[in-house]
Amino acid sequence: MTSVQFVRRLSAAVAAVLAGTLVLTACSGGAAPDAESGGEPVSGGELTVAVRSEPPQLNPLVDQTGGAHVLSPVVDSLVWDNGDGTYAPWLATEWEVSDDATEYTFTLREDVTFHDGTPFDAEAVKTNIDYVADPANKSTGSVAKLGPSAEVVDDYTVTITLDSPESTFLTLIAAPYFGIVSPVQLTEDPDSLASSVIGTGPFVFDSWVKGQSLTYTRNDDYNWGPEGTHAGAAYLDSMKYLFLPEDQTRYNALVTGEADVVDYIAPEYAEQVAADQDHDSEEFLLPGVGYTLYLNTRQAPFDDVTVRQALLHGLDREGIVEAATFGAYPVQEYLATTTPDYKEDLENTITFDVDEAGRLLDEAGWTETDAEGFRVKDGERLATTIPYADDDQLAQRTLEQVQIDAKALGFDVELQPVPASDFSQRLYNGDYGIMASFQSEATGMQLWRLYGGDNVSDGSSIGSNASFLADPELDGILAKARSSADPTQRAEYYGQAQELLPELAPSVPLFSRARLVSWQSNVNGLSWDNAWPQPYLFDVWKS
Amino acid sequence: MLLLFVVSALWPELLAPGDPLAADRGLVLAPPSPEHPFGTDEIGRDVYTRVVHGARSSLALGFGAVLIAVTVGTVFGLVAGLSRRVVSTVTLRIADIGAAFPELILAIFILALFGGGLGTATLAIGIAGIPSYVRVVRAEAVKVKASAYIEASYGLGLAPRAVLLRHILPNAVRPVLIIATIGLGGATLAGAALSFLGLGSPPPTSEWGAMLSNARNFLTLGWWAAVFPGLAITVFVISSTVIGRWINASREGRA
Repeated sequence: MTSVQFVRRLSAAVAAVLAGTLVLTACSGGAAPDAESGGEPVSGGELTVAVRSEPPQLNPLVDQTGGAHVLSPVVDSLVWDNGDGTYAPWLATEWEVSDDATEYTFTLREDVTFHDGTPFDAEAVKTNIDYVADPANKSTGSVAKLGPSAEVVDDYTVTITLDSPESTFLTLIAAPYFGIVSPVQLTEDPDSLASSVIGTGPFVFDSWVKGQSLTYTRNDDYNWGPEGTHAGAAYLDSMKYLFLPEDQTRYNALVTGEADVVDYIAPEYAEQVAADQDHDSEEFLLPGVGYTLYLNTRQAPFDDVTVRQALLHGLDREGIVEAATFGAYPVQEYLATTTPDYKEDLENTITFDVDEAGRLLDEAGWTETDAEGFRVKDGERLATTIPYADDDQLAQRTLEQVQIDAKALGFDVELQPVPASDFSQRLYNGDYGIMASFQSEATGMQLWRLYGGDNVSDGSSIGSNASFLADPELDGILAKARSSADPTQRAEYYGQAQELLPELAPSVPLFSRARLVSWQSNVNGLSWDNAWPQPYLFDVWKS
Repeated sequence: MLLLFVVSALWPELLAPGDPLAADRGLVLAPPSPEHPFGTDEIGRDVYTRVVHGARSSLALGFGAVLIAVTVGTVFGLVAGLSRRVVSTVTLRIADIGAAFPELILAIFILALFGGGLGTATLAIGIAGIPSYVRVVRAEAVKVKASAYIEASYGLGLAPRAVLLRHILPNAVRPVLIIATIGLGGATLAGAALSFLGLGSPPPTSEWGAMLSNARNFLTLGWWAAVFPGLAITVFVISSTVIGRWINASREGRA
């Protein structure tokens, strides 16, 4: 089993000089001293965090896009993902999993209250599960896909039953997109979740200036951080997320000191940040299916598996990724190496072989060439289109490199810049030849989300299977993996799926994204949330 | 200078024999060197070759837009100037509404309706430019209509259509051509601006605005990728404006 890998690029630890008296929180006796700086945590101050994307609304149960990361300080989850396949107590103190991975019973903490004063109990968890399971609420997360239902056993015991087995369910609910929201807000005023959110987290929602910033203040009553974090309330008085979508602007926010923490430093600045002595940095290689080109198997020419394989082997993936990401991101197979259940000794790896790709295209009947050098069959040019979000600079660079390699194969790839809002619409309609997207989830279950036949859009529901693949053999293997509560067995099945995928070639995986976070040297105690890798800020304090 | 741009647009191979799409993956954002006088961009393509070849799409956009604006603007201007009062007033009010929007905003609005692309961008800037030409042509047409030689033409028994084509049109259009020369720079700049916003030509087309847009993220890492297409836009706009003013000045001097 692969544990989540930290790549530390820390400059020499900066000893925090603490002058004068230390203002300690009421419960600081139990606080773990920060290992890096060696100083005693102090309370107070506002932390400014520059992030790339803004959430469209503030309901963590509905939205699962990148912007939802900023909701994590307000909500807590039932369990904490340790990142190595084990879990620690959080809002749940203990849990039991049935052998077929369909029934999960949680025993809950009894001392937790929501920001609106509502006590946290089994009924609250049920309200959240019911909300996610109701199709009317259009929850896009993996949990909704599992058809969960909840049963209150007693005040502080709840059983969640899934329609289909899911052996990695705990990872899914450990992520903030299953952060528990106040049942009062959910039932009485769900519309208010568009612009505010009430949870149990260490920070309370304060204000949201759309297009600019989101502000939280400390929850003084908080005393239920996940195991391994400090006791009591957060050290910071308040937190402010700044939405800076431009890569360069965000990097500048670090250099000028406008932000204390800058998330998603773009790959072109990775080297500069690493060499920089004034700031500390850490990067997390995001798990999951990574940045991948999904080939629309419903349309010509990708309805032909030979053409798909030709593209899989005909693109110089190393070269493309190296050039587009300035060498900052690694090439990956169908799963990132940091994904639990990634197969270490993968045999069927993707090889780069232009001659083989050419032979495959010949075999598929694309033998003639036109005046511009593109392959032709029956008077039709071998061509496809890739829509991409027009504000995604990394995507554009990557796809332009793909275009160059495809052209060398005689494949005409057209790039279509579309507004980011249009992009998701196209994903749902299947209105594309190739869909390029980045997806991350800390479980091999993502293979099912992306390649499982039952995740294809069918007109009534929206599917996440962007290549519209439906292969009975693969579906069988994925179903077995998902119903294997035994981790070794589960890894075995996900391994089989990884060996099979290059044969089906539903997509061309390109790179894993390294989430690079940098912070000013007076910021201490930053750690990572492994369930949905992102900086975890509860333990952070400023010296 | 302008001639150089025209040559770049019509026969880019003369100035830059290379392929503007050819990329060298090992040379991403390489600084200017004898081999790549303007350096390479973030894809590894030669910036010099792309700036030269970019003249074609950038200028085509500018010329095309001005052509649309002048042609349509002239037609409506003549209509407004020569027709009966009601038609004239309606045409002018529509033109006024159009003129109330800044040209670029109007162009972006049109693009939002019909989608991006080099063709639609040209059309959008062209349409946005129409109102100003309507006004000018109308004013000239009214002036010419009242002049003695037009009355003389009618007196000589020429058909109204012949008077329009032979006398009013040529006289009314002359000042428009001067404005158009100056407007060419503005239209090219607007085209570059739209491409900069991602509403123009899709990648990998070499177009100055698009090049600038892509390169702006790497100002600290490779200034050359942004500076040279930026210079090309600036120099072109300045030189077309200078020539427009020069024509204008020489005409006024003669009159």
